[in-house]
Amino acid sequence: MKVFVFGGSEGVGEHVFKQLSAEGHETVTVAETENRAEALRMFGANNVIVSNKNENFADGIGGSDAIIYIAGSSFGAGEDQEILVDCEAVVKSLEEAQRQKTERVVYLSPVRTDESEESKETGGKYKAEEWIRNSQLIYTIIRTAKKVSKPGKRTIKASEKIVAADDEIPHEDVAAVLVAAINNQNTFRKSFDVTEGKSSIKDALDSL
Amino acid sequence: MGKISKYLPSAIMGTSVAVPLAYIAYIYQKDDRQKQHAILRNFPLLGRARYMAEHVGPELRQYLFSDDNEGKPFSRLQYQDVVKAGKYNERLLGFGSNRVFEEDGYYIRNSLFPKLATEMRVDNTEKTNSYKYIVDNEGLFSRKEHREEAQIDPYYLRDEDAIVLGEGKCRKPFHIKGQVGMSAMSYGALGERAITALSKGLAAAGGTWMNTGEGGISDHHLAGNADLIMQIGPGLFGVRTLSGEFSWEAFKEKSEIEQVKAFEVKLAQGAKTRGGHLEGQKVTEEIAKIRLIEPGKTVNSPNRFVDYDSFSSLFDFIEELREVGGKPVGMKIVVGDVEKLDEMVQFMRDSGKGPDFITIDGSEGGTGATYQELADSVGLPVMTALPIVDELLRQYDIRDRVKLIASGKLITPDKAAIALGMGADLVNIARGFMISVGCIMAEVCHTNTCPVGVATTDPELQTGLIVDEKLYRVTNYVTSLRAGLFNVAAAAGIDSPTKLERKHLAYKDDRGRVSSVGSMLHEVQQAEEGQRDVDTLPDK
Repeated sequence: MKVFVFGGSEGVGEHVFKQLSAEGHETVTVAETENRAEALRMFGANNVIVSNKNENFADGIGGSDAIIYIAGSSFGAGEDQEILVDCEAVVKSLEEAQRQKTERVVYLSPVRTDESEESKETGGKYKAEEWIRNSQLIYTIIRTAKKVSKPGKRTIKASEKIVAADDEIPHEDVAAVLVAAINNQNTFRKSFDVTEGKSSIKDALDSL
Repeated sequence: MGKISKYLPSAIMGTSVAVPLAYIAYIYQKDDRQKQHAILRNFPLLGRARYMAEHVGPELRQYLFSDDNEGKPFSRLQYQDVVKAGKYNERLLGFGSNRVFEEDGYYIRNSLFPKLATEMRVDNTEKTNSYKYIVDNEGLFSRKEHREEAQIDPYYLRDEDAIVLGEGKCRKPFHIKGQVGMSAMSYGALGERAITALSKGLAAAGGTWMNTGEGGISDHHLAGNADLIMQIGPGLFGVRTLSGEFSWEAFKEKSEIEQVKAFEVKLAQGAKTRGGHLEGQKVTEEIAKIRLIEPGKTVNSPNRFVDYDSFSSLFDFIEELREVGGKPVGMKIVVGDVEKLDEMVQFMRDSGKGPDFITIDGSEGGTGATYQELADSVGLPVMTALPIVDELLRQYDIRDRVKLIASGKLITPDKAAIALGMGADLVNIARGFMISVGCIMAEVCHTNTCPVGVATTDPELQTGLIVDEKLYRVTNYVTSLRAGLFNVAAAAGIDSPTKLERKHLAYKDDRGRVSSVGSMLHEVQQAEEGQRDVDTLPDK
């Protein structure tokens, strides 16, 4: 399967490339510099388009079977530091995807499971989610607990709504959820929360 | 019964006064009559205060009276920097530097346009799983902290930037994806627990190496599967016959161990330009087996490899080691005689022979046991010695054949970066690693009574050192050093610490004047010219 990865720079993204390539998927992505492109290739990205303003990404989306969109993990933002997300950029990219007939989208929301209403609205962080839900895309929208740099456990908890303020989830596990969701039909057109837990990722996604 | 209870209190009172008084009187007359100490003869009893104060002085100074920048060989702050990097995987500080900026010293020239994180040629593809401490709450009498898992970036060099020892010269060159490794520390000097924690911690960090020290390869060095550089000293431990000759058979056996990546022939050590001495009682069965010596028998190593007293014989030996072992061979030296070094490098060029790497140990280097006169004044410090060797190799156009490893108090990333700028390809650290496994600088390494079980083989004292706890501090320390090197490189406007050069450094004197770090060799050679003038004077 050919997967286009948006926002795959730090943290979760690096693991997404590794895991996609370990499962034999072909990956396409965009990088700001040639040096960063080299780093992403080392992680397992097959085709990296170098562009500092994302202007060439349309060529990359063409022919992709699915999209993983990691919103908010802008490069240089520290661990679990969700910066404001440019909702317009998300919409623009996904509109382009629709035009190119790539309809499967796994979207990692910048909104955290424990985030306050006020914080969600700051900069319209949640708006992209709504746009996606109203679109024709075959979406999966995932919110997670605080993401941390810890070794992955490959076990999670997934549910429509999880309220657990102190929960955290390793980057590696978030990546595994995104990758597992691509082909899991049970996640199609669903929005759900993910945090640390005891179920295997497959079981957790199947029982949603 | 009545009588006892009546007189008991006064009996106790009487005894508690009489016994100490008698003891004091005994000490008084003992001090008065002894012939060893003048001060006690003149001031019996009182004179003892002097000895007590002298004895606890270092501890008092270290913990109470010295300021954070005082203290040798490492100041309180330098020590803390290493501990924090290992324990908390943290190098941040608040409010600013405590360096004494009025003093002279090296500085790194920062670029007006530093590199962005996205521009650095770093390889963080394989993450390192470790543990680090998080402080929850710190009060005057207690600190609440907990240990948690951490997945950290290893800060490897990219494959193309990796430092390669013995490239094109031996069957199995050693590729190293980091520029910091562990300097020579033998099993025996350090206990099995310390060596095991180091081996496991370095292996988990990857991109580094562990020098076995001249005491041979122990099972503890092999415990973690770290890449090893086996050191061969004049005592030939581990590669000798029982009678003390070099054993090619034993060497071949060692070279076939997968983890052994290179060999280092030790000509000298910064702290001791002398042969080692191993007391018979320390030669246990295990140590005897590793070193290939007789148990229970005192061994004195010679100052020099007995058979090699010229460059041609030494280099022939190195060639043969490389040929037989198939792995890179280097040598460890202390720089003193520049004229002789000049001769050596010229010989290397003319003969095409010589080591794959040279480890330059500064005179400030550490050791478990040495004589003061050798530690303090023999050999040149690393920041002088290193550029001399670097420049000599360039002068004879053979710098590309040899990698340089620098050592001598380079325990923080800035110091290591300066050494890289001064011409080193790699940096060796010993005491920094000791601190990461628990050393508190008690300075009793030579007594086998190390209070934290690091520099001792005493099983009792070693129970204090928990391998599973300390190994992660080693991992964190070495990855933190590498991260720091990338940090310095970015500030200097280069995308990899492998590109640090003399031009990225400046030397500021105590009057605030800055000079560029130019040719050291030129000045030394001029000084030696001057030396010859003195030599031409009539004999005294």
